[in-house]
Amino acid sequence: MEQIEPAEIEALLIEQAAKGDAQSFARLYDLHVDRVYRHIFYRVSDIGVAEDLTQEVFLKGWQALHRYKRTGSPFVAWLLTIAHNLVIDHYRARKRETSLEPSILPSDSATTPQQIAEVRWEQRELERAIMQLRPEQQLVIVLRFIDGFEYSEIAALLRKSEGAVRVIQHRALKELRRILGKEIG
Amino acid sequence: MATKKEEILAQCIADVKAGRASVEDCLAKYPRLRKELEPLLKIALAIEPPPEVSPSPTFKARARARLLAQIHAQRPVTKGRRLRYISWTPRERRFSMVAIVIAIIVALAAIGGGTVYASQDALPGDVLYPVKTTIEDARLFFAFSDEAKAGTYLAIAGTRLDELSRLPEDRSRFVERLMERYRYNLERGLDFAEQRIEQGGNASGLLARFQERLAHHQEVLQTVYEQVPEEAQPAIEHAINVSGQGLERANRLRARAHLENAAQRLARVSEMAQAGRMDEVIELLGEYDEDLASFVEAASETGDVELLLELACERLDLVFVDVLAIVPDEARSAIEDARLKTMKGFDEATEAVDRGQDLKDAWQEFEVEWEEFMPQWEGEMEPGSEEWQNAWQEFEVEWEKFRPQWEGEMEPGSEEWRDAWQEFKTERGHSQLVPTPPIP
Repeated sequence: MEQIEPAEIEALLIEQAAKGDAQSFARLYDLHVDRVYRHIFYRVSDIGVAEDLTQEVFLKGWQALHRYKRTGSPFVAWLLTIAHNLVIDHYRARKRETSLEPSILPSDSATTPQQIAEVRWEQRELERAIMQLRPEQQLVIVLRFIDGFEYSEIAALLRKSEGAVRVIQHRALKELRRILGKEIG
Repeated sequence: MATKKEEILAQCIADVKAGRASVEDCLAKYPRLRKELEPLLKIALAIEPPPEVSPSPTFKARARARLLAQIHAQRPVTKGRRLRYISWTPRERRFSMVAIVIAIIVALAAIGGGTVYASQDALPGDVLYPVKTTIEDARLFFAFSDEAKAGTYLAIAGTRLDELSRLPEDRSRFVERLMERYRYNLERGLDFAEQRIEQGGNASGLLARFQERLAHHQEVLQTVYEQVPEEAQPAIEHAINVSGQGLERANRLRARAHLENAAQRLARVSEMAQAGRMDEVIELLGEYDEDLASFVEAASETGDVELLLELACERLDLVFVDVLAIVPDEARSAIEDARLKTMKGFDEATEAVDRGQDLKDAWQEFEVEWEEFMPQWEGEMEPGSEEWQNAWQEFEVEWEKFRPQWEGEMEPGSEEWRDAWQEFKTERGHSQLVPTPPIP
């Protein structure tokens, strides 16, 4: 029997959900909830907030499903842009309070307590700096380096050229350098 | 457009991450860029995905059940319901429309005019409340255009808030439902406003109304929040967020509406130019300038300034290309000027925003600069030529020296300001560079 590709299953689920089939949307939820949660958790570093916002992403996704267009970007990337906007709103509502409790644990390569402490410190600084970028720069950096999307996918999602995405990435990295330089210096 | 530098950085990041090259390999390959590439590469490589974090199974199951419950509670709002309706045959559809109209007329006739009037003040839990919501459904049914639908949904959202502010304490069980209906009506209203923009209609006035009402909703909700019992506060808090998000969306849409007005104005410029009506071309270009200023003002109230500027740049440039391809020669120069002003203005505004300046202020400054510079070259240089670019740069240098002297002290364009500029030029011996008065 012919095997159905996961992408085809996803396309079918989206089609069914767009016709009002809640169960199909629930299956899309099953497929993507981990990734959406992880994306949000990376940026808010709070389990409760990450859970609330994850729920909201899917509810908004359901409500806006008729606006989702197959533009060449994966469905999960579309969900992540909803997540991105909610995270921004969350910080805005908290009057840009950015006291993060970073979640990032040391990488495997750090073995001694001192190394672990150093890696953790660096990651915290980096995470704080990313939070200070402009929303669009944040989105590109997180989608590219944290979520691992290709330039073409990010470009389709943002409705920009791949070149424009690389320009945003370049500006974002320069800005990170400036922020980190200022914090260290 | 990405330059070589940006492409090289992206390629190096990809190569190093994929293990095809080391940082040193990349730097050795582009020695002239080493100084700039090295720190950026290091930062890019330091950004690592966090270790696998997963939501707890309990949360996943609970959230899934809640999602399904919310979907079922809102079912009438989904596209699905609409699609099912659309999938009927034309005959079925006609029949169903007639049936709905008859049902509404019969219902309204049966309950009588006095009852309808009395129902206007009804609250959830009152006997007449269903009459009130039936009338709202009827209003929606008879709102045929997108604009009318958007306005009706907005009014209904306001009614839900009004009910909330008058709800007695013993009916606090209705708070959550009222807030849910508020959210639904607000979002539907904005959906129709967006649809109007997408279909080429002028929605700027409609969206200004959304902005004004939403600002008022925020005030009402804040007051209600302080008055409701503690258990009802989370629902109000949620509604404040919903209202805030609605306001942000209305702001973005309003900017888009002004952008579309500008694009359509350009299309009319093209028609007038082809008809040889140059007076009207000039007048329309003046109005186009006002559209741009309105767009900038609306965009500056959003959190997506950069994105909107890029969108505007792309959108308008495409229209300019189309217009310039067909207009007669006598209109070309005026349209080229407008194009240059738009592109240069957006470029400078983007840079100013990057520096942390407010978009509206940046645009006002640019407009003053443009008015200052224009008389210098008019009829003497080709707009956009190398000579023009050099003159502009020279002007900018002078301008930057002058600006700090008046900033915050004089109104740009005022008599006092013009005298100061004249004096400045005379002092610096630049009367040759700027032979005409600053603002004609």
